Amino acid sequence: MALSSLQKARSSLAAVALLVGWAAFATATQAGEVLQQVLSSGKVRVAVMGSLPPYTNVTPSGEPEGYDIEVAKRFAAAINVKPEFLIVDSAGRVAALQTRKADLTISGFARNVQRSLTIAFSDPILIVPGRVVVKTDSPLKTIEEINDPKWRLSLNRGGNSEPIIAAKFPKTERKLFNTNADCLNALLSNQVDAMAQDAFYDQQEIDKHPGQLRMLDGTYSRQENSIGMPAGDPDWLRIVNLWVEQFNASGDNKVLFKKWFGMDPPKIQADY
Amino acid sequence: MSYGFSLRAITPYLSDLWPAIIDTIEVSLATMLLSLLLGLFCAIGRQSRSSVLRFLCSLYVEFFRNTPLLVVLYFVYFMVPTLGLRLSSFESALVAMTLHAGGYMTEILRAGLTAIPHGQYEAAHSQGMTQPQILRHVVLPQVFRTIYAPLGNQFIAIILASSLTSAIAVNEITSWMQTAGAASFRYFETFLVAAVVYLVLSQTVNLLRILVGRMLFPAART
Repeated sequence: MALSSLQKARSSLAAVALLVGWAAFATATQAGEVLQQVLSSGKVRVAVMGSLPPYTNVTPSGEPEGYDIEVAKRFAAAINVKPEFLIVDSAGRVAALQTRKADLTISGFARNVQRSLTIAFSDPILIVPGRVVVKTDSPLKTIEEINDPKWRLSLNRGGNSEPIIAAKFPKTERKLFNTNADCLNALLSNQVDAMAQDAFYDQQEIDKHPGQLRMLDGTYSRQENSIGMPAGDPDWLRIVNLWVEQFNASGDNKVLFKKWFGMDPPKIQADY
Repeated sequence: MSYGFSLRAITPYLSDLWPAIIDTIEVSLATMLLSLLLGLFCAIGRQSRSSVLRFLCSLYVEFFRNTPLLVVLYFVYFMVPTLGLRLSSFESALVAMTLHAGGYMTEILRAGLTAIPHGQYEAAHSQGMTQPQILRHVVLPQVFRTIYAPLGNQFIAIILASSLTSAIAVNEITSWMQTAGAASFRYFETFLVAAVVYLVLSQTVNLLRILVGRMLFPAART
């Protein structure tokens, strides 16, 4: 006997409710056991973005490479496990930790108070200014000028810049995209007038498109890039933080940064 | 730290959901109407005596039925401006979805057209009707009786396909889901709300299709 439409709708809703209930329960039982799982499985699952060079990028053969990839590989080697990379988008970096699909996120990941309500952060491994990129022939000169409804600004959905730009430049028309590549393509195809991103990523793209792009004067944020991890496992946080401290203090971070970015990194200290 | 499911946590973001639903309905309705017109033109064109017109219409159908909608969206939004024509996110979505859905609409309408017995055309000719009159008064009323059910399914498919337009910054339901989820870190809740909204929209279309069918074609049971 064929089901009526109402019966089909009720069945669909019940199925969705069951799935949500199972997923919520599944997440709750796995929290707090990250370290033990990593050591017993012999691998650490690291969420990274696919298109944020030189932090992370995917080679034509499908292998991830970049500064963040090498940071992950060095940490994995320090605790004698293998790294397993999970490619996500900007918003997926937090979701992967919340749902325990990943044990760490190392992907141009800025720590902020809002994110720390749901996940944990290590101490910073990098300090990055937020800058705005425009086309070379743009009439815009300084970052303050974009606070006008006639200017369209591309932003990464789920990125750290989104709430900062919304607060500092509320009149700008914000266009949200899922990937950095889409943000850049929107600028290059004149769908937007500017792009807000990490200064080092901006410089990379300026170098790749000679004569086409430039940065506006001024910064909109001071971003502390850190390693993200699921909240609730203090031992995991302790181990990651110890490694970060030694990675910074030994000079290894400086050497690695120079390899991928071609310059010395900014000092990791607050500018009081 | 465990995940505590709470719909209340996303209530600050619900005010943005209604405009997103309106945008979804707008782009879907406009796509449905435009793709119907485009599909009708191409369906008639595929039966034309002109081999050039038949070839062009067939080429259009085969190209867009075998190309992912996301690729078409990206092409219209990112590549077309380089040719000197800049379309907004909504306009790009409308163009891309119309071109894509038009291919499927062509085949639905063509199936309806070929279902009309040839004797109908001959009888109409014998009455002195012109070709446009035959289409208007004899063929199309019968075609729509045949295809209104698949048209309803196609409308549902268009509503669900509109979710891809979030990739080119259209502020529709999936865009709301992604933005609210990323801002609140409440992905389960936003996914659930978006799923329920799509379900309600689709089932509303389905029920309307059934009701309209019973009103217009009382002899046929759907």
